[in-house]
Amino acid sequence: MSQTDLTELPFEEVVGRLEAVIDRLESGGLSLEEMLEAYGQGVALGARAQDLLDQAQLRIEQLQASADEQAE
Amino acid sequence: MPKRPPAGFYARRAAEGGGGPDQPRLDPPAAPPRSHPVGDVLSRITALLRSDDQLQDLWVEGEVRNYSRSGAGHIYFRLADDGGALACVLFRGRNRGARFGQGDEVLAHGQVGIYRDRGDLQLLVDDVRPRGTGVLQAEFERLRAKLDAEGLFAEERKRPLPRYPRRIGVATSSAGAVWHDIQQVLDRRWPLAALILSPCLTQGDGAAESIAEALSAFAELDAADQPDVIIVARGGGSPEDLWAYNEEPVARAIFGSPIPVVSAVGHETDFTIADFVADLRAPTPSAAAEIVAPDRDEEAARVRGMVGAGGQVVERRAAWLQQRLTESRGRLAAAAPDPGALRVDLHRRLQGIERRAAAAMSARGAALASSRGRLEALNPLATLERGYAMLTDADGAVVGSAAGVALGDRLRVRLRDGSLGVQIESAELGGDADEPN
Repeated sequence: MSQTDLTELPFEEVVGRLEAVIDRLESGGLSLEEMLEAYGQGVALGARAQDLLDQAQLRIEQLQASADEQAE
Repeated sequence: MPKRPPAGFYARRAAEGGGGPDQPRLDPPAAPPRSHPVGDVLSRITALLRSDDQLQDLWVEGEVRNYSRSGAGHIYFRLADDGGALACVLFRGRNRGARFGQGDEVLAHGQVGIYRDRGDLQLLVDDVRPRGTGVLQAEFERLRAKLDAEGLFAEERKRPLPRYPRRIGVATSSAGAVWHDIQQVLDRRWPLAALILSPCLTQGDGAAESIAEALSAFAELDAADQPDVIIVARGGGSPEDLWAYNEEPVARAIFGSPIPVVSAVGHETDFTIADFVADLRAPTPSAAAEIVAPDRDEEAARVRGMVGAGGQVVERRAAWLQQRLTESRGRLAAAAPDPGALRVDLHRRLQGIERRAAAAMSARGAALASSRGRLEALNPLATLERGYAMLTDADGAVVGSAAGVALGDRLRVRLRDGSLGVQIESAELGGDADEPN
Protein backbone atom coordinates (compact mmCIF):
# COMPACT_ATOMS: atom_id res chain seq x y z
CA MET A 1 0.00 0.00 0.00
CA SER A 2 1.70 3.15 -1.15
CA GLN A 3 1.07 6.65 0.12
CA THR A 4 -0.45 7.79 -3.16
CA ASP A 5 -3.12 5.11 -2.91
CA LEU A 6 -4.41 6.61 0.33
CA THR A 7 -5.64 9.83 -1.20
CA GLU A 8 -7.92 7.84 -3.51
CA LEU A 9 -9.61 5.95 -0.67
CA PRO A 10 -12.90 6.94 0.97
CA PHE A 11 -12.96 7.38 4.75
CA GLU A 12 -14.58 4.00 5.32
CA GLU A 13 -11.74 2.22 3.51
CA VAL A 14 -9.03 4.23 5.26
CA VAL A 15 -10.50 3.46 8.67
CA GLY A 16 -11.04 -0.18 7.71
CA ARG A 17 -7.36 -0.51 6.80
CA LEU A 18 -6.31 1.28 9.97
CA GLU A 19 -8.38 -1.15 12.03
CA ALA A 20 -6.79 -4.08 10.21
CA VAL A 21 -3.27 -2.71 10.87
CA ILE A 22 -3.99 -2.24 14.58
CA ASP A 23 -5.48 -5.73 14.77
CA ARG A 24 -2.28 -7.12 13.23
CA LEU A 25 -0.14 -5.19 15.69
CA GLU A 26 -2.17 -6.33 18.68
CA SER A 27 -2.38 -9.94 17.55
CA GLY A 28 1.33 -10.39 18.32
CA GLY A 29 3.37 -12.68 16.13
CA LEU A 30 5.06 -9.85 14.24
CA SER A 31 8.78 -9.22 14.38
CA LEU A 32 9.88 -5.79 15.58
CA GLU A 33 10.66 -4.80 12.01
CA GLU A 34 7.22 -5.88 10.82
CA MET A 35 5.67 -4.03 13.73
CA LEU A 36 7.49 -0.84 12.88
CA GLU A 37 6.42 -1.19 9.24
CA ALA A 38 2.80 -1.80 10.25
CA TYR A 39 2.90 1.07 12.71
CA GLY A 40 4.20 3.34 9.96
CA GLN A 41 1.23 2.35 7.81
CA GLY A 42 -1.10 2.99 10.75
CA VAL A 43 0.30 6.48 11.26
CA ALA A 44 -0.14 7.28 7.57
CA LEU A 45 -3.72 5.93 7.56
CA GLY A 46 -4.56 7.85 10.73
CA ALA A 47 -3.22 11.05 9.22
CA ARG A 48 -5.24 10.47 6.04
CA ALA A 49 -8.42 9.82 8.04
CA GLN A 50 -7.85 13.01 10.00
CA ASP A 51 -7.38 14.95 6.74
CA LEU A 52 -10.63 13.59 5.37
CA LEU A 53 -12.46 14.57 8.55
CA ASP A 54 -10.91 18.04 8.61
CA GLN A 55 -11.43 18.87 4.96
CA ALA A 56 -14.92 17.44 4.39
CA GLN A 57 -17.63 19.70 3.00
CA LEU A 58 -21.25 18.56 3.06
CA ARG A 59 -22.59 18.26 -0.50
CA ILE A 60 -26.27 18.94 -1.12
CA GLU A 61 -28.20 17.50 -4.06
CA GLN A 62 -31.87 17.52 -4.93
CA LEU A 63 -33.87 15.17 -7.12
CA GLN A 64 -36.45 16.66 -9.43
CA ALA A 65 -39.56 17.60 -7.48
CA SER A 66 -42.75 15.70 -8.22
CA ALA A 67 -45.61 17.62 -9.81
CA ASP A 68 -47.39 17.70 -6.45
CA GLU A 69 -44.44 19.16 -4.62
CA GLN A 70 -43.84 21.81 -7.29
CA ALA A 71 -47.48 22.85 -7.13
CA GLU A 72 -47.25 23.26 -3.36
CA MET B 1 -58.34 3.03 2.27
CA PRO B 2 -59.83 6.41 3.09
CA LYS B 3 -57.86 9.23 1.50
CA ARG B 4 -59.24 11.42 4.24
CA PRO B 5 -61.60 11.02 7.21
CA PRO B 6 -64.94 9.64 6.04
CA ALA B 7 -66.81 12.93 6.41
CA GLY B 8 -65.06 14.13 3.22
CA PHE B 9 -66.51 11.27 1.25
CA TYR B 10 -70.03 12.69 1.09
CA ALA B 11 -68.79 16.08 -0.03
CA ARG B 12 -66.68 14.55 -2.78
CA ARG B 13 -69.41 12.26 -4.08
CA ALA B 14 -71.84 15.19 -4.21
CA ALA B 15 -69.34 17.30 -6.12
CA GLU B 16 -68.76 14.60 -8.70
CA GLY B 17 -72.50 14.27 -9.31
CA GLY B 18 -72.93 10.52 -8.92
CA GLY B 19 -71.91 7.62 -11.10
CA GLY B 20 -69.86 9.48 -13.67
CA PRO B 21 -69.71 9.09 -17.42
CA ASP B 22 -67.83 5.79 -17.66
CA GLN B 23 -70.25 3.48 -15.82
CA PRO B 24 -71.32 0.26 -17.63
CA ARG B 25 -74.77 0.70 -19.11
CA LEU B 26 -77.45 -1.83 -19.85
CA ASP B 27 -78.70 -0.03 -22.98
CA PRO B 28 -77.31 2.28 -25.60
CA PRO B 29 -78.38 5.80 -24.52
CA ALA B 30 -80.94 6.31 -27.29
CA ALA B 31 -82.34 2.74 -27.47
CA PRO B 32 -86.04 2.09 -26.88
CA PRO B 33 -86.91 0.55 -23.51
CA ARG B 34 -86.61 -3.24 -23.01
CA SER B 35 -86.64 -5.69 -20.09
CA HIS B 36 -83.52 -7.10 -18.36
CA PRO B 37 -82.65 -10.31 -16.47
CA VAL B 38 -82.41 -9.76 -12.72
CA GLY B 39 -78.78 -10.90 -12.75
CA ASP B 40 -77.83 -8.17 -15.26
CA VAL B 41 -79.41 -5.53 -13.07
CA LEU B 42 -77.54 -6.80 -10.02
CA SER B 43 -74.30 -6.88 -12.05
CA ARG B 44 -74.73 -3.24 -13.02
CA ILE B 45 -75.39 -2.24 -9.43
CA THR B 46 -72.36 -4.24 -8.30
CA ALA B 47 -70.21 -2.57 -10.98
CA LEU B 48 -71.44 0.85 -9.86
CA LEU B 49 -70.54 0.07 -6.25
CA ARG B 50 -67.14 -1.35 -7.17
CA SER B 51 -66.25 1.70 -9.23
CA ASP B 52 -66.46 3.86 -6.13
CA ASP B 53 -63.14 3.71 -4.21
CA GLN B 54 -64.78 5.11 -1.11
CA LEU B 55 -67.54 2.52 -0.96
CA GLN B 56 -64.96 -0.25 -1.31
CA ASP B 57 -62.91 0.90 1.68
CA LEU B 58 -64.77 2.82 4.37
CA TRP B 59 -65.64 3.08 8.02
CA VAL B 60 -69.32 3.26 8.99
CA GLU B 61 -70.46 4.34 12.44
CA GLY B 62 -73.70 3.29 14.14
CA GLU B 63 -75.47 1.17 16.72
CA VAL B 64 -75.47 -2.62 16.42
CA ARG B 65 -78.98 -4.08 15.97
CA ASN B 66 -80.40 -7.50 14.98
CA TYR B 67 -77.13 -9.15 16.09
CA SER B 68 -76.98 -12.88 15.31
CA ARG B 69 -74.28 -15.50 14.94
CA SER B 70 -74.70 -18.42 12.52
CA GLY B 71 -73.66 -22.00 13.26
CA ALA B 72 -70.76 -21.51 10.83
CA GLY B 73 -69.46 -18.60 12.91
CA HIS B 74 -70.52 -15.73 10.63
CA ILE B 75 -71.96 -12.65 12.34
CA TYR B 76 -74.98 -10.81 10.90
CA PHE B 77 -76.20 -7.45 12.21
CA ARG B 78 -77.50 -4.04 11.19
CA LEU B 79 -75.77 -0.73 11.74
CA ALA B 80 -78.38 1.92 12.44
CA ASP B 81 -78.69 5.60 13.30
CA ASP B 82 -81.32 8.28 12.83
CA GLY B 83 -80.63 8.27 9.10
CA GLY B 84 -81.40 4.59 8.50
CA ALA B 85 -79.96 1.06 8.76
CA LEU B 86 -77.36 -0.89 6.77
CA ALA B 87 -77.20 -4.70 6.65
CA CYS B 88 -73.77 -6.02 7.67
CA VAL B 89 -72.05 -9.40 7.55
CA LEU B 90 -68.77 -10.34 9.18
CA PHE B 91 -67.63 -13.69 7.80
CA ARG B 92 -65.78 -15.90 10.20
CA GLY B 93 -62.51 -15.90 8.22
CA ARG B 94 -62.39 -12.11 8.12
CA ASN B 95 -63.09 -11.55 11.78
CA ARG B 96 -59.90 -10.43 13.53
CA GLY B 97 -61.31 -11.25 16.94
CA ALA B 98 -63.61 -8.24 17.12
CA ARG B 99 -65.78 -8.31 20.27
CA PHE B 100 -69.06 -6.49 20.06
CA GLY B 101 -72.73 -7.20 20.56
CA GLN B 102 -76.29 -6.01 20.38
CA GLY B 103 -76.70 -2.30 21.16
CA ASP B 104 -72.98 -1.42 20.97
CA GLU B 105 -71.96 1.82 19.29
CA VAL B 106 -69.25 0.76 16.83
CA LEU B 107 -67.14 1.67 13.85
CA ALA B 108 -67.24 -1.01 11.18
CA HIS B 109 -64.76 -1.15 8.27
CA GLY B 110 -65.50 -2.89 4.99
CA GLN B 111 -66.84 -2.62 1.45
CA VAL B 112 -70.39 -2.07 0.24
CA GLY B 113 -71.81 -4.75 -2.05
CA ILE B 114 -74.94 -6.67 -3.05
CA TYR B 115 -76.13 -9.96 -1.59
CA ARG B 116 -77.33 -11.33 -4.92
CA ASP B 117 -79.69 -14.04 -3.63
CA ARG B 118 -81.87 -11.37 -2.07
CA GLY B 119 -80.74 -8.23 -3.84
CA ASP B 120 -79.90 -6.73 -0.46
CA LEU B 121 -77.33 -3.97 -0.12
CA GLN B 122 -74.85 -4.93 2.58
CA LEU B 123 -71.56 -3.97 4.17
CA LEU B 124 -68.98 -6.78 3.99
CA VAL B 125 -67.26 -6.06 7.30
CA ASP B 126 -63.58 -6.87 8.01
CA ASP B 127 -62.99 -4.87 11.20
CA VAL B 128 -65.09 -3.59 14.08
CA ARG B 129 -63.92 -1.12 16.73
CA PRO B 130 -65.69 0.59 19.61
CA ARG B 131 -66.98 3.96 18.44
CA GLY B 132 -65.20 5.79 21.27
CA THR B 133 -61.90 4.88 19.59
CA GLY B 134 -62.20 7.60 16.99
CA VAL B 135 -61.96 6.81 13.32
CA LEU B 136 -58.29 7.77 12.91
CA GLN B 137 -57.30 5.47 15.74
CA ALA B 138 -59.58 2.75 14.37
CA GLU B 139 -57.99 3.00 10.94
CA PHE B 140 -54.53 3.04 12.48
CA GLU B 141 -55.29 -0.12 14.44
CA ARG B 142 -56.89 -1.81 11.43
CA LEU B 143 -53.97 -1.14 9.07
CA ARG B 144 -51.42 -2.01 11.70
CA ALA B 145 -53.09 -5.38 12.34
CA LYS B 146 -53.37 -6.04 8.61
CA LEU B 147 -49.76 -5.15 7.73
CA ASP B 148 -48.44 -6.92 10.81
CA ALA B 149 -50.22 -10.07 9.67
CA GLU B 150 -48.54 -9.63 6.27
CA GLY B 151 -45.11 -9.45 7.91
CA LEU B 152 -44.28 -5.82 7.07
CA PHE B 153 -43.10 -5.15 10.62
CA ALA B 154 -41.07 -8.34 11.05
CA GLU B 155 -37.91 -7.78 13.06
CA GLU B 156 -35.97 -10.22 10.89
CA ARG B 157 -36.38 -8.04 7.81
CA LYS B 158 -34.99 -4.93 9.51
CA ARG B 159 -31.73 -4.08 7.77
CA PRO B 160 -28.61 -2.68 9.44
CA LEU B 161 -27.64 0.89 8.58
CA PRO B 162 -24.27 1.58 6.93
CA ARG B 163 -21.61 2.64 9.42
CA TYR B 164 -20.20 5.38 7.19
CA PRO B 165 -22.89 6.45 4.70
CA ARG B 166 -21.49 8.19 1.64
CA ARG B 167 -24.86 9.32 0.34
CA ILE B 168 -27.84 10.03 2.58
CA GLY B 169 -31.31 10.37 1.03
CA VAL B 170 -34.01 12.51 2.63
CA ALA B 171 -37.67 12.32 1.63
CA THR B 172 -39.41 15.40 3.00
CA SER B 173 -40.69 18.80 2.00
CA SER B 174 -38.06 21.13 0.50
CA ALA B 175 -39.74 24.06 2.25
CA GLY B 176 -39.95 22.91 5.85
CA ALA B 177 -37.63 23.40 8.80
CA VAL B 178 -37.01 19.63 8.79
CA TRP B 179 -34.82 19.73 5.68
CA HIS B 180 -32.92 22.67 7.08
CA ASP B 181 -32.37 20.95 10.43
CA ILE B 182 -31.12 17.74 8.83
CA GLN B 183 -28.62 19.70 6.71
CA GLN B 184 -27.35 21.52 9.80
CA VAL B 185 -26.89 18.38 11.86
CA LEU B 186 -25.00 16.56 9.10
CA ASP B 187 -22.90 19.61 8.22
CA ARG B 188 -21.71 19.68 11.83
CA ARG B 189 -21.43 15.94 12.48
CA TRP B 190 -20.68 14.17 9.20
CA PRO B 191 -19.89 16.46 6.26
CA LEU B 192 -18.12 13.56 4.51
CA ALA B 193 -21.50 12.49 3.11
CA ALA B 194 -23.58 13.85 0.26
CA LEU B 195 -27.14 14.74 1.22
CA ILE B 196 -29.82 14.13 -1.41
CA LEU B 197 -33.31 15.56 -1.11
CA SER B 198 -36.23 13.83 -2.79
CA PRO B 199 -38.94 16.43 -2.24
CA CYS B 200 -42.51 15.41 -1.44
CA LEU B 201 -45.73 16.53 0.20
CA THR B 202 -45.91 15.74 3.87
CA GLN B 203 -49.62 16.31 4.52
CA GLY B 204 -52.98 16.72 2.80
CA ASP B 205 -54.46 15.18 -0.32
CA GLY B 206 -52.02 12.98 -2.25
CA ALA B 207 -49.32 13.24 0.41
CA ALA B 208 -49.10 9.46 0.91
CA GLU B 209 -48.63 8.88 -2.82
CA SER B 210 -46.10 11.74 -3.00
CA ILE B 211 -44.04 10.24 -0.16
CA ALA B 212 -44.14 6.82 -1.84
CA GLU B 213 -42.95 8.38 -5.12
CA ALA B 214 -40.13 10.22 -3.39
CA LEU B 215 -38.95 6.89 -1.98
CA SER B 216 -39.10 5.05 -5.28
CA ALA B 217 -37.22 7.96 -6.95
CA PHE B 218 -34.20 7.00 -4.82
CA ALA B 219 -34.45 3.36 -5.84
CA GLU B 220 -34.64 4.35 -9.50
CA LEU B 221 -31.31 6.21 -9.42
CA ASP B 222 -28.20 4.61 -10.93
CA ALA B 223 -26.45 2.42 -8.39
CA ALA B 224 -23.61 4.95 -8.01
CA ASP B 225 -26.06 7.76 -7.26
CA GLN B 226 -28.28 5.81 -4.89
CA PRO B 227 -28.12 6.74 -1.23
CA ASP B 228 -26.90 4.17 1.32
CA VAL B 229 -29.69 5.11 3.69
CA ILE B 230 -32.93 7.13 3.46
CA ILE B 231 -34.58 9.34 6.07
CA VAL B 232 -38.36 9.70 5.74
CA ALA B 233 -39.00 12.82 7.78
CA ARG B 234 -41.71 15.21 8.78
CA GLY B 235 -41.93 17.79 11.56
CA GLY B 236 -44.42 17.75 14.39
CA GLY B 237 -48.14 18.34 13.88
CA SER B 238 -51.62 17.14 14.75
CA PRO B 239 -52.58 13.49 14.20
CA GLU B 240 -54.43 14.64 11.07
CA ASP B 241 -51.28 16.45 9.82
CA LEU B 242 -49.22 13.30 10.28
CA TRP B 243 -51.90 11.06 8.80
CA ALA B 244 -50.21 10.38 5.45
CA TYR B 245 -47.52 8.40 7.31
CA ASN B 246 -50.25 6.02 8.53
CA GLU B 247 -51.44 5.24 5.01
CA GLU B 248 -50.86 2.03 3.17
CA PRO B 249 -48.98 3.43 0.13
CA VAL B 250 -46.28 4.85 2.42
CA ALA B 251 -46.02 1.58 4.35
CA ARG B 252 -45.71 -0.39 1.09
CA ALA B 253 -43.11 2.03 -0.32
CA ILE B 254 -40.94 1.78 2.78
CA PHE B 255 -41.30 -1.99 2.79
CA GLY B 256 -40.39 -2.15 -0.89
CA SER B 257 -37.37 0.16 -0.66
CA PRO B 258 -34.12 -1.65 -1.55
CA ILE B 259 -32.35 0.97 0.58
CA PRO B 260 -32.63 0.96 4.41
CA VAL B 261 -35.13 3.54 5.67
CA VAL B 262 -35.10 5.51 8.91
CA SER B 263 -38.44 7.07 9.84
CA ALA B 264 -38.64 10.36 11.71
CA VAL B 265 -42.20 11.64 11.79
CA GLY B 266 -43.43 14.28 14.22
CA HIS B 267 -42.29 14.40 17.81
CA GLU B 268 -40.89 11.71 20.02
CA THR B 269 -44.34 10.64 21.24
CA ASP B 270 -45.83 10.25 17.76
CA PHE B 271 -45.89 6.72 16.37
CA THR B 272 -46.96 6.07 12.79
CA ILE B 273 -47.36 2.98 10.63
CA ALA B 274 -44.26 4.20 8.76
CA ASP B 275 -42.30 3.84 12.01
CA PHE B 276 -43.30 0.20 12.31
CA VAL B 277 -42.26 -0.65 8.74
CA ALA B 278 -39.02 1.37 8.73
CA ASP B 279 -35.73 -0.36 9.42
CA LEU B 280 -35.24 2.08 12.27
CA ARG B 281 -37.43 4.71 13.92
CA ALA B 282 -35.85 7.96 15.04
CA PRO B 283 -37.73 10.05 17.60
CA THR B 284 -37.32 13.26 15.56
CA PRO B 285 -35.84 14.32 12.19
CA SER B 286 -32.76 15.83 13.88
CA ALA B 287 -32.28 12.60 15.80
CA ALA B 288 -32.52 10.70 12.50
CA ALA B 289 -29.71 12.83 11.08
CA GLU B 290 -27.59 11.92 14.11
CA ILE B 291 -28.46 8.23 13.90
CA VAL B 292 -27.62 7.70 10.21
CA ALA B 293 -24.03 8.93 10.45
CA PRO B 294 -21.18 8.93 12.96
CA ASP B 295 -19.86 12.11 14.56
CA ARG B 296 -16.78 13.72 13.02
CA ASP B 297 -15.13 14.55 16.36
CA GLU B 298 -15.81 11.11 17.80
CA GLU B 299 -14.36 9.46 14.72
CA ALA B 300 -11.27 11.68 14.88
CA ALA B 301 -10.78 10.70 18.53
CA ARG B 302 -11.27 7.05 17.66
CA VAL B 303 -8.69 7.23 14.86
CA ARG B 304 -6.20 8.93 17.19
CA GLY B 305 -6.91 6.28 19.79
CA MET B 306 -6.24 3.47 17.33
CA VAL B 307 -2.94 4.96 16.16
CA GLY B 308 -1.95 5.55 19.80
CA ALA B 309 -2.82 1.97 20.72
CA GLY B 310 -0.67 0.75 17.81
CA GLY B 311 2.21 2.90 19.02
CA GLN B 312 1.89 1.48 22.53
CA VAL B 313 2.03 -2.04 21.20
CA VAL B 314 5.26 -1.24 19.37
CA GLU B 315 6.72 0.55 22.40
CA ARG B 316 5.87 -2.34 24.71
CA ARG B 317 7.56 -4.75 22.35
CA ALA B 318 10.64 -2.52 22.01
CA ALA B 319 10.89 -2.17 25.81
CA TRP B 320 10.59 -5.92 26.21
CA LEU B 321 13.29 -6.53 23.63
CA GLN B 322 15.52 -3.94 25.36
CA GLN B 323 15.03 -5.70 28.68
CA ARG B 324 15.86 -9.05 27.15
CA LEU B 325 18.96 -7.59 25.58
CA THR B 326 20.11 -6.16 28.90
CA GLU B 327 19.52 -9.47 30.65
CA SER B 328 21.34 -11.37 27.94
CA ARG B 329 24.35 -9.08 28.21
CA GLY B 330 24.44 -9.71 31.96
CA ARG B 331 24.34 -13.44 31.49
CA LEU B 332 26.98 -13.27 28.77
CA ALA B 333 29.30 -11.20 31.00
CA ALA B 334 28.81 -13.67 33.86
CA ALA B 335 29.58 -16.60 31.62
CA ALA B 336 32.72 -15.12 29.90
CA PRO B 337 36.29 -16.22 31.25
CA ASP B 338 38.37 -13.62 33.21
CA PRO B 339 41.77 -13.17 31.45
CA GLY B 340 43.63 -12.64 34.74
CA ALA B 341 42.10 -15.74 36.29
CA LEU B 342 42.83 -17.58 33.11
CA ARG B 343 46.52 -16.63 33.35
CA VAL B 344 46.70 -17.80 36.95
CA ASP B 345 44.95 -21.00 36.03
CA LEU B 346 47.24 -21.55 33.07
CA HIS B 347 50.30 -20.97 35.23
CA ARG B 348 49.01 -23.39 37.81
CA ARG B 349 48.34 -26.00 35.18
CA LEU B 350 51.80 -25.48 33.66
CA GLN B 351 53.40 -25.92 37.07
CA GLY B 352 51.46 -29.11 37.53
CA ILE B 353 52.62 -30.39 34.22
CA GLU B 354 56.26 -29.53 35.07
CA ARG B 355 55.90 -31.22 38.43
CA ARG B 356 54.48 -34.33 36.90
CA ALA B 357 57.19 -34.29 34.26
CA ALA B 358 59.93 -33.97 36.89
CA ALA B 359 58.39 -36.76 38.93
CA ALA B 360 58.18 -38.90 35.85
CA MET B 361 61.81 -38.15 35.03
CA SER B 362 63.07 -39.06 38.49
CA ALA B 363 61.03 -42.25 38.52
CA ARG B 364 62.53 -43.13 35.22
CA GLY B 365 66.01 -42.47 36.64
CA ALA B 366 65.36 -44.86 39.55
CA ALA B 367 64.09 -47.48 37.15
CA LEU B 368 67.22 -47.00 35.07
CA ALA B 369 69.49 -47.51 38.13
CA SER B 370 67.58 -50.63 39.03
CA SER B 371 67.94 -51.89 35.51
CA ARG B 372 71.63 -51.28 35.65
CA GLY B 373 71.84 -53.43 38.82
CA ARG B 374 69.98 -56.18 37.09
CA LEU B 375 72.27 -55.95 34.09
CA GLU B 376 75.23 -56.07 36.40
CA ALA B 377 73.96 -59.29 37.98
CA LEU B 378 73.75 -60.84 34.53
CA ASN B 379 77.34 -59.95 33.62
CA PRO B 380 79.28 -63.31 33.63
CA LEU B 381 82.39 -61.56 34.79
CA ALA B 382 80.60 -60.77 38.01
CA THR B 383 80.17 -64.52 38.54
CA LEU B 384 83.91 -64.90 38.33
CA GLU B 385 84.13 -62.48 41.25
CA ARG B 386 82.23 -65.03 43.31
CA GLY B 387 84.80 -67.80 42.59
CA TYR B 388 83.51 -69.45 39.50
CA ALA B 389 85.70 -70.06 36.39
CA MET B 390 84.88 -69.70 32.76
CA LEU B 391 86.39 -72.01 30.10
CA THR B 392 87.00 -70.67 26.61
CA ASP B 393 88.46 -72.24 23.51
CA ALA B 394 91.22 -70.96 21.34
CA ASP B 395 88.82 -68.68 19.59
CA GLY B 396 87.65 -67.19 22.89
CA ALA B 397 84.23 -68.90 22.70
CA VAL B 398 82.80 -70.12 25.98
CA VAL B 399 82.96 -73.88 26.38
CA GLY B 400 79.85 -74.94 28.32
CA SER B 401 79.80 -78.70 27.39
CA ALA B 402 82.24 -81.61 27.76
CA ALA B 403 81.14 -83.00 24.47
CA GLY B 404 83.01 -81.50 21.57
CA VAL B 405 86.20 -81.20 23.57
CA ALA B 406 88.91 -83.61 22.53
CA LEU B 407 91.80 -84.87 24.60
CA GLY B 408 94.77 -82.71 24.18
CA ASP B 409 92.73 -79.56 23.29
CA ARG B 410 94.18 -76.43 24.68
CA LEU B 411 91.67 -74.22 26.46
CA ARG B 412 91.87 -71.18 28.67
CA VAL B 413 90.37 -70.85 32.12
CA ARG B 414 89.34 -67.35 33.10
CA LEU B 415 89.41 -66.58 36.77
CA ARG B 416 88.65 -63.45 38.84
CA ASP B 417 92.04 -61.98 38.39
CA GLY B 418 93.43 -63.56 35.19
CA SER B 419 93.45 -66.62 32.96
CA LEU B 420 95.35 -69.91 32.80
CA GLY B 421 96.20 -72.08 29.73
CA VAL B 422 95.22 -75.76 30.26
CA GLN B 423 95.35 -78.97 28.19
CA ILE B 424 92.64 -81.61 28.40
CA GLU B 425 93.96 -84.88 29.86
CA SER B 426 90.78 -86.92 30.34
CA ALA B 427 87.12 -86.67 29.60
CA GLU B 428 84.04 -88.43 31.00
CA LEU B 429 80.67 -87.67 29.60
CA GLY B 430 77.57 -87.77 31.83
CA GLY B 431 77.50 -87.88 35.58
CA ASP B 432 77.60 -85.04 37.97
CA ALA B 433 80.24 -82.72 37.01
CA ASP B 434 80.27 -81.40 40.54
CA GLU B 435 81.29 -84.80 41.93
CA PRO B 436 85.00 -85.21 42.22
CA ASN B 437 86.54 -88.09 40.27
